[in-house]
Amino acid sequence: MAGKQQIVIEAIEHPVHDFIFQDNDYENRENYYGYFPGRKLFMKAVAEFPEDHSEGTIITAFPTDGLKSGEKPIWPKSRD
Amino acid sequence: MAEIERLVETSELIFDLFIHLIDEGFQSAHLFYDTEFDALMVLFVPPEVETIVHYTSDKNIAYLYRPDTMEVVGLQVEAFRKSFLPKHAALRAQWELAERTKPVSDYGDVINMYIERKSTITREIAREVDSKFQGGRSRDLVPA
Repeated sequence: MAGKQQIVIEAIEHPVHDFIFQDNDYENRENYYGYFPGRKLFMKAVAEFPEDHSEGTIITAFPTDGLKSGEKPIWPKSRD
Repeated sequence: MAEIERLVETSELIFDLFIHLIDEGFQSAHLFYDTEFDALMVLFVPPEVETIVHYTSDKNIAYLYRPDTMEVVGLQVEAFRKSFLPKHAALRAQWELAERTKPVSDYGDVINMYIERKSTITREIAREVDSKFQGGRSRDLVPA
């Protein structure tokens, strides 16, 4: 997929509505959804962090058309 | 609170191939396991074919569909080892057997393990999906 790396970076730097989501199953993972340029899709990037939460690693990224059920935003903490 | 909208509804997907493949126990599927992400991909098309993840109400299982045809051509089972396998004892036994003989292939940055001896595993997954899919009456995989 051409330009995939740039789309992943964009998803992490500018996620949709600035939301970062906690993974449902892995406490040390955060999920980012970014718009996929020119397509009716999001790019989802999954970042994994060490215990000290110092520097995360992107372990996978793939196109999806929606948010995973049950994922809760951890940033911003609340916009109610 | 602003929400992330769903861009494609489940009703827009085509399930003709999928229903047929459930009936035959996913025997023609290719299985790939991403060890780092902990996700099992069940694919009815070659891995180089572009697929989109469509999440369902199920905690683990998402559909994979082709964006050009909207046909469902696979499944992505997330947190496969962490939460899916512990709920399926028969599948776990087969998985552990397969893992002892795992060959590794490089299909890029997503797929890193190709599973052989897959027939029992695919049959178990097909049975699981069929129970939640309710014989096609529910397109959104309803947790059992």
